[in-house]
Amino acid sequence: MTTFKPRNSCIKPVSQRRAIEHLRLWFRISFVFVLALSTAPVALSQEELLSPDDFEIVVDFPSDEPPLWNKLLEAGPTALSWPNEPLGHFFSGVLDSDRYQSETELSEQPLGLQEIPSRPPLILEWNELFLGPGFLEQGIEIPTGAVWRPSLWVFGQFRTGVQYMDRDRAIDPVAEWTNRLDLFGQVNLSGTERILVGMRPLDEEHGGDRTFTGYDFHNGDWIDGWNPDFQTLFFEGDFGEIFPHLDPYDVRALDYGFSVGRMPLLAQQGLLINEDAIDAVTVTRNTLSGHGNINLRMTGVYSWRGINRNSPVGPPNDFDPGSEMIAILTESDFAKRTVNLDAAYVYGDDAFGDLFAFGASAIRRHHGYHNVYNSSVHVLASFPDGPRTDYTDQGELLFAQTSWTPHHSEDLIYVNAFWAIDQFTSSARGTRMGSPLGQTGLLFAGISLGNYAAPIPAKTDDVVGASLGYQFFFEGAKQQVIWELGGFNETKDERRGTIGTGLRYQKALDQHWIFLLDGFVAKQEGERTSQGARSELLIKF
Amino acid sequence: MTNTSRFAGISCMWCIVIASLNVHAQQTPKVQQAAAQRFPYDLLEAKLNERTRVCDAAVSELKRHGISSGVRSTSSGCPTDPQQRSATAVVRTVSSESPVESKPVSMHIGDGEQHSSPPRPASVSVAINESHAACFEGDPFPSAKRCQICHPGHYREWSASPHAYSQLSPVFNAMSSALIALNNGTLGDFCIRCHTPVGMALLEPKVMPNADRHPAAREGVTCVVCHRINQNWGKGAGRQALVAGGLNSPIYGPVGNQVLADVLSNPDRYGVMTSSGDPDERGREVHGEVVPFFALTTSSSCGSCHDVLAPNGFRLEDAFSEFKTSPSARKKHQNCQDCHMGISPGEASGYAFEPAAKVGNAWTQSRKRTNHMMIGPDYSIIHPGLFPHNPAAVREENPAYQDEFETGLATMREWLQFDHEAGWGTERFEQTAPDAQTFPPAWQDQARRFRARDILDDQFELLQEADRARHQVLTAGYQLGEIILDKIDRHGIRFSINVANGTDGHGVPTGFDAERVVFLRVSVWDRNSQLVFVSGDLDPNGDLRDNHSAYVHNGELPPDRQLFSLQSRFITRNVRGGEREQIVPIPYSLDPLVYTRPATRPFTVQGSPLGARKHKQGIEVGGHRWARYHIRRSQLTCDGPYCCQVQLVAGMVPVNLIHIISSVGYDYGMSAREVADAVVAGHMVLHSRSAVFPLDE
Repeated sequence: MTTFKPRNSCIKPVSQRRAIEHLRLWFRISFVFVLALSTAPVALSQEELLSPDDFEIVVDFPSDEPPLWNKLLEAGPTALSWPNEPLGHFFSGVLDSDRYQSETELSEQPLGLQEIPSRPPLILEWNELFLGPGFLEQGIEIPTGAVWRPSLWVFGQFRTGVQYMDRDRAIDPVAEWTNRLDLFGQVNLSGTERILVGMRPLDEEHGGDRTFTGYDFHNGDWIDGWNPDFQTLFFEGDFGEIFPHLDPYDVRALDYGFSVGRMPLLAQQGLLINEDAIDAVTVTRNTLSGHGNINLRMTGVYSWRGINRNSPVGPPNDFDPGSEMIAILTESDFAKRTVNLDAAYVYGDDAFGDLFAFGASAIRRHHGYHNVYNSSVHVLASFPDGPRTDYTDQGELLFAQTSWTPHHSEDLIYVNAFWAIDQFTSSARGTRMGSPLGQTGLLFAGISLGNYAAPIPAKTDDVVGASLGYQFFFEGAKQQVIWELGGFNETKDERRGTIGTGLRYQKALDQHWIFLLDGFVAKQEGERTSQGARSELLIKF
Repeated sequence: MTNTSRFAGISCMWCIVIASLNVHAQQTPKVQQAAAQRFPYDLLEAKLNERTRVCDAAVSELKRHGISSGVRSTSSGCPTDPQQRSATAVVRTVSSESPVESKPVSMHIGDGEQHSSPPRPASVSVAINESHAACFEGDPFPSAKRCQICHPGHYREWSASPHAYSQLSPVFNAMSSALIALNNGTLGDFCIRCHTPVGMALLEPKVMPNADRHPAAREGVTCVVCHRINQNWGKGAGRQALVAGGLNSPIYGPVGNQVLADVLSNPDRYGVMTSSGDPDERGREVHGEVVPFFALTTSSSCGSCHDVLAPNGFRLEDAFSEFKTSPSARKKHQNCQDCHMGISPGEASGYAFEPAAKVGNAWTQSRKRTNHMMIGPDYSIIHPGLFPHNPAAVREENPAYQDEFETGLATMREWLQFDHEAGWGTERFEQTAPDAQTFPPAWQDQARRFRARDILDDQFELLQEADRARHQVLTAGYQLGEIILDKIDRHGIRFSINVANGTDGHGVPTGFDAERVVFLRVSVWDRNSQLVFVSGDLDPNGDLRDNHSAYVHNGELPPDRQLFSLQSRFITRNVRGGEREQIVPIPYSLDPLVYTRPATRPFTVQGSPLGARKHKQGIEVGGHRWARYHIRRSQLTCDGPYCCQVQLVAGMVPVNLIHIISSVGYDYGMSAREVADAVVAGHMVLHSRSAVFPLDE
């Protein structure tokens, strides 16, 4: 084995590392002021902090100094990274909990085999355990030749929250105790075939809204959202696996995946389609390759029994009972990036209109000199086919996400931005899925529980906005704090701006529970300050 | 059921076992010893009964094969070396009621010599026969070392194979444990079900020293894992049902009963018996029937484990799916076995035609013979006494797992104390070792050390054979073009090299490609032998300087910005800010309590759960990739010409994986450092190219 090691060694004693950290912090603070006064790029390098004599030179390595343009490019993220360390220390002190710190060197100390958590059982496991050890039964060979071993697994999660929100004059303040239960039963037939049934018995969808079981403190009313409706019911399988005799030698690629029934559907990370219950049939082909495309997945979708339509302007998303949708969703892995190309056409009732929309996105990591930057860029557009309505409008949405992880941590810093030109309209959007811009930040998204809406709701109606967030991990990742700053500005008419900040704390308890606290303060031009807070207990089983 | 009650139940069962054996001990003097050595069916049954809610079928399946019907009277009498084993055959012969019939079957395993044996008391002979019956019949999943007796060639190939290593691998075990821990226990046996189907069927814990596992469980993908499958499970992610049964139970093979029928119809020639229950029948036990199982000859039998779709929709591996869309399948109508079980690893060059078994000292009819080494990119990093599997090396530590085939020199734990790197057992070491040299109790006997060294020499030879096969299959998988000088002047040097997929059956790397290390190591020196450029070098941990390197991540080394790597990446979704690469696909940014549960949306449509996916970055079938390099002016010393060397290197897993999973500990008392060093030592140069760049004056 040949091991080359760097000439400009960076391997330092621990005491020196701490000194460097302090120096680096002060240097960054100074750097921000310098940056404010002058645009001259200043890059932080370790060699500037300590003289070469301070290092133990262990290796020989060709120099690879970043060029000026790269220093300039990374100056922004470097500046945005500086609050991460003091904020992390602050939260660490408040929570009295250690932050995740990644060790550089491998341990030479054998640990011995450590205990691991036992498998938490599902609510119900009939026949085969879900990922449980034990003797596996023989299967049943169905007439097509496929071998199935039917099992039933029941699982889900329950959320209960107490929440308060006073957002703007148009909406009554929210003060409620609210609940949601997602209950699923899977009849597992084989590794590729299954029937999934899902219910949300504590919240009921009616028209363009949902009612969550709980208590409204503001009006003093009990709210009943009990319902026996199936939220999800679909069969999913692989054609080639169901009919193995059609290809006994495995030389014909008949492995078409398909699903039929009521199912959730997502495209472009929820920007184009974000439905929690849509009646559809899908056919998928995956693991295709060629011409530099390493892994292509294509899905054709046909939805036939009405979908929830998105409104980029006034009214909330609403159910269009007469609508149908056809869509093609693709995802391709290339050597450096993943590309999603999706398109959907919706035939709607006259009141809703017909709509064609598409989205293209590229997701990749950029390797800088100081860090690795995760990025995804989405370009979406919608075109009405016929007259425009509240649910069918023309517009474009440019959406970009960037994030990176500072050294010596698993923390996350993210910067997201969007620009909605005219009125971009999603093809399908669940009643409580809000605006496509929820992906921008926690402040822009609802929580799908009760009436606690997005703190700063931005609609894709001539608007530009961004968010900056810091996520900190404690106790491994069992305890997390997310602090976010976000805002948007309308680009037409009154050009009003909105800005807000929010904080989220969440902690996993035992093997089943998550405790969550949320709070925000926001201000929209011309409106009074809005604020909200909530606590939630989530139970997984 | 609580742990206390479970423990109490198990204790009770053991008391019953011991009490029963004491009864039998009054009848035969050797029974008590046998009690401790027989397979603990009752314990298995007790465990199964604890889980009757889901395992009734399992119990009935075991009962159907007559292996959980309570305590049996058994005796041990299992000899521990070949000489004794030969003698056993004679004992079985002479203990029969008909001395005339004994003659033809008094052949001896291996050497064919005939031994005479003094007559034994009838009661002892009966007891010994019963013990043999138990050894053969009782175990629902016979160990490969039982198959080895008649199939030495298959066993030798398999013993050094990745299949045989699958459960022994400390990296696998740590990764499985770490993923279970990071999924808060919900991942269950998802990983380990493929790596030790027998262990999971026997309800062994997911985390336990391999030394304490049932022999067939420790053997990972052992003989019965493929040859005791009677249904075509398709893409089942390893959750196919094994057919339980002793050695006499049918096995499932590609050809069927033709050869076996010949063996059974010539008892005089082969000296076999298909049942251990009939005292009148004598001979060497053999499976009663070979049931033809067509699916075993197709790629789907490989795909049942090598297309790994998690219940939450995560496509971890899709080698089988890749194959089904490849020209190899669609145009050439080949299958996995053609390239991976043929004469030459990595190419469809046909199969050997030779006997599949040697029964006694008689070879069976020649037929198509597949190679069971099925080599791949993995290699052993554990003590050579433990792997390759070798019945002459390892003795079962647990008496319950010892049988008449027990010929091992030392237990696994004893082997771990044998310092082969210091030269123990070599003539040189033994002659020069100081008197003060101390040895662990198991190795104080010099003769034993010499014997261990002899065994290790065989082990090293087999490991080298496996390495050669690995090199061959990996070399066939990748093609490296010539170095192409694109531009050279005083402003720098630009050059490129092409890497192509050498197979037409799947992408490269494939399978567990998100943790496969395949990269180009590029070095450029000036005429004074000063290194002016390097890419693909390793950090002090042994990692490439990509963003997963701890040194790079912590800002202690610069990233290798021109690194050419074919490793795919696990991508996890962030709470916001898109996605990021992670060494293991645990989306904790999205969820502080990561759970594995069935997907609640169609995984065919999404291709992955919402929180994690894999970004494939290898080379697709028929594809190629250009690696382009740029040496900047500031890096040139102007002492041209420059010499460039490019190597295509393949490793098993990245060291950063070893680092991140080390918190759950490694088996065999290994530290993360030891594991990493061994993994890096196994890096293999597949192709190499060199060129001289003349610098214009």
